[in-house]
Amino acid sequence: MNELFFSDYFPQIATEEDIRKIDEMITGRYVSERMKTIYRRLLGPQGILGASMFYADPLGINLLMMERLKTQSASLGYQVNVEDGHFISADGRHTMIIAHTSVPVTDSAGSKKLIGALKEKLDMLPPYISADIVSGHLHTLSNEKVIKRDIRLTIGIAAAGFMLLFLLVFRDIRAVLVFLIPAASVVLSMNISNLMIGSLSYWVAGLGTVIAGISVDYGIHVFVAVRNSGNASKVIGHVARPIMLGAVTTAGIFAAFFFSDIEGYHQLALFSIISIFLSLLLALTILPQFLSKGQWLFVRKEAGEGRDRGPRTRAVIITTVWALLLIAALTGSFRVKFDSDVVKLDGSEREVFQAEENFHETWGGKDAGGILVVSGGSYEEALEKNDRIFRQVKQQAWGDGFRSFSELWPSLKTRNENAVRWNEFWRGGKEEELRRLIRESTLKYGLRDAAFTPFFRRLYIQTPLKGGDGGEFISAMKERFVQRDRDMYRVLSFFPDERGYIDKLSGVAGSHEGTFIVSRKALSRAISETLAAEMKLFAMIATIFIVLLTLLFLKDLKKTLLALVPVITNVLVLLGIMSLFGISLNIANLIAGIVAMGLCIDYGIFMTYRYEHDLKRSAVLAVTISAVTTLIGAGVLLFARHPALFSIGLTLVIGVLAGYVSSVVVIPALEKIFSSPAGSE
Amino acid sequence: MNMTSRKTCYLLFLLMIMPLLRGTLSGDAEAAAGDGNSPSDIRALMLRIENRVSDFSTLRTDFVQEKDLAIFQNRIIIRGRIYIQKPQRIAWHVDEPVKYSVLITDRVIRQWDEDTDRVQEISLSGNPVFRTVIEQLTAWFSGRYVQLLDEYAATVIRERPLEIEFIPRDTSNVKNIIKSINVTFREDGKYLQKVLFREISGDSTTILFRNTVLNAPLDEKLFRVKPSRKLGQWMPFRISFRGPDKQIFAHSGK
Repeated sequence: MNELFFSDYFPQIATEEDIRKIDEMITGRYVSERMKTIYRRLLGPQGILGASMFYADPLGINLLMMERLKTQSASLGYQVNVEDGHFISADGRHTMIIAHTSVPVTDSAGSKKLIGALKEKLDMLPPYISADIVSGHLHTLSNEKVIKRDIRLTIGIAAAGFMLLFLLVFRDIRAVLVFLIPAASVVLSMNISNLMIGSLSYWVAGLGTVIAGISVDYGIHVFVAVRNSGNASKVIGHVARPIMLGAVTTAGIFAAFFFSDIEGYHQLALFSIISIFLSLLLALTILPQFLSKGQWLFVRKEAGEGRDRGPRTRAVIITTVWALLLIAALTGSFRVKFDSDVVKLDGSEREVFQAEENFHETWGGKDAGGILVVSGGSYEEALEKNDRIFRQVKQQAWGDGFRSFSELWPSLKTRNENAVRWNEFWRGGKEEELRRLIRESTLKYGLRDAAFTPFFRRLYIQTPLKGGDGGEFISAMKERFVQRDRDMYRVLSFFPDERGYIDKLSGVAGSHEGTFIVSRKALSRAISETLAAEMKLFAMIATIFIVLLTLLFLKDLKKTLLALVPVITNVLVLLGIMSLFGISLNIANLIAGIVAMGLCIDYGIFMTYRYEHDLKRSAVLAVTISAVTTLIGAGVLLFARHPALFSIGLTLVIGVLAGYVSSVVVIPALEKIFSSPAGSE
Repeated sequence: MNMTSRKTCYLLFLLMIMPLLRGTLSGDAEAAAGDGNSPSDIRALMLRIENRVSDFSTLRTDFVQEKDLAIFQNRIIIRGRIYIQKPQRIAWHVDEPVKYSVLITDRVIRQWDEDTDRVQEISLSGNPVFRTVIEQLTAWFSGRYVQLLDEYAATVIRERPLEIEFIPRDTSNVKNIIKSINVTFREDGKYLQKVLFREISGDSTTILFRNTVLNAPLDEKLFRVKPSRKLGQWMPFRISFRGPDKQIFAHSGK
């Protein structure tokens, strides 16, 4: 307790500013007021055991020290007291236990075991004590639970939707095979992926219906073509090429995710590519075997030859409306922002967030600041570097919010300088002046000036200082601010976690070797920049891949451009709608956007390819059914409670719908304009 | 042996065994039994005292405080009132020689004095020294004696009235401030009669408790540090009864 008295520390840590403040206290008026205050306080309960506190500090210099402690404590962002070795909240009604675990937060099985064990212990508490667990593991488990529930729900709805669609449109029991192909592929792919990379994460598995909706297309194209021509072997030869191209482009889009460093993307890529190629294989090999047997109830014949009929004016109107729409979407697309906050894609249940909310209400820490870490080979070396940075920051106009250990316990070198300054101040006549003022003031209140002997006895500090760790009190503070890692000492400073502050502090810290900043905002920005860079790379790879492959397949620049119409429409309409409704880009909808590009190019290729091989009407039907199945697969995700799955579903629905409509409406219109001279209608 | 001599023998015997009977009949027999100061005896005694003394939800008492402090030229006599509402509220009103009030809760202390007429609030969480002082006082006045044994060694000094001396252990945080604390209990053992604090600095404070009432309803106004001025405006004098002799003191309303 005695250690807290300023005289043990203050002369060593008093800055020039502190000396100036003390100098301002040594006036007749201040000392008289102070004596009056001391007299009053001594009459109250504080006077029973606290008189010696006043004897040792007649001026109230302790308050300067307390202020410093208060700001240091607030800088951590947490309101926590340590009492008898326990963390106690400010209201005194909560205690906190911090548990270390070797279970990684990504380990689902381990998390389950860990949380189960903790809950078992908490169940033993008496009814009047409540406890909350706050842990990343809870998010893992809760997300898993939500996604599992979503998977069950979406699979059910999608399966019913697919079956209904095939039976209603095709009116043939063999259509069930078309549905079974992607279902079997997705299940097989999950098992193969599990064998190859361990276990798939739940959010990847949650995209199963989307992958099924995509890979069902190959079976649909085969089924429609065979049904319309009635001859399986002849038609397979015609449709195999565009179907394979479609599969390769879609798989290529997913393959771009292998360029990422994020493991989840690798899983998604592997799972999707295997599903797509399995579906393709089954659609081209097994399905025709069943379709060539038995009679077709009716075989649809193509309605006409050559280009689609219809007035050229209508084509021009369609194209103009489309172009205007794209221009409007393009204008809005620049306003769409990228939101890197992955927390928003956390689909944990309300109880998990509520527990964290309760925690912050009790303990604070919601706005915990950033941390500047200063390293040194020895304790004193780290402290000296910390002092230099502290002085440099404090000289800046923006340096107010910077809280450093240097304020409480600077290096031995600085402490020696401070102690010498302190002694010089008092020897320079201030001691005599204060003695005189106290003598004059005490007389007024019937007090004895000799009572303040403890203050004057300990006024001077012996220099040079011998070092030391500052005793129990500083040792307690040291635990917060100093970390030792083998032969390396790290001293922490705290600052407001704001972008402007981080930039300025980076400028100061950058000139000192072995310093770095730990900031949630900076980390979030770094993640955002990395993700944005990755996404740009994916988008670029995907675009180049799509354009090259389409060009290679169609061997015609004009046709390639036509085939790209759904892709361009998908991207711009998606961004335009997001801008209109103020939706931000995030990791989930970016993935979905890139996948939608791969799907839309399929529609473009099919619609452009259709004239070459007598597949005009069947192509439109096949593209329509493909789009509808994808929309079902993605649309069911709109029923998902998990925000990431919902976001993916929404993006795919908008993108695929835009791509589909443009492929069946705009591509024929553009073909008409390009192929027939003006006024030919 | 005639009847008179037999009576004399009985009387002598009774006189001889009287101290033993007193010890047995007393609620605090261990304290009187010679070696009642062993740690286990003291703990058992403290537990019993704590059960008795802390058995209240509210308390009101007048007090007279005598302070022999190095800083005062003369001994200071302070009179006032204390109101305790468990678990964590103590109102301390000084009526003489100046008007001064303090409200102590588990987190803050709020104080007012007539001279400045300002209410000042101090957070205990940011003031560890003050907090320790307040925690000590709260423990003494609320009757939490068993927990004090971790910090103090206790010795029974007297049994009627029961007086116990507490001396800080070497490991205690308060050993640099407190020399000893002597607590004297009322005859019925239900609350304190006197507490004497001796400090290392040579200062000492004695508090005498008078007119103590346990579990009486306490008006919320008693826990306000700044008194209402309305009463003073209406009445030129404030009248209160205090002291065992119900002596009437009259104070100026201002």
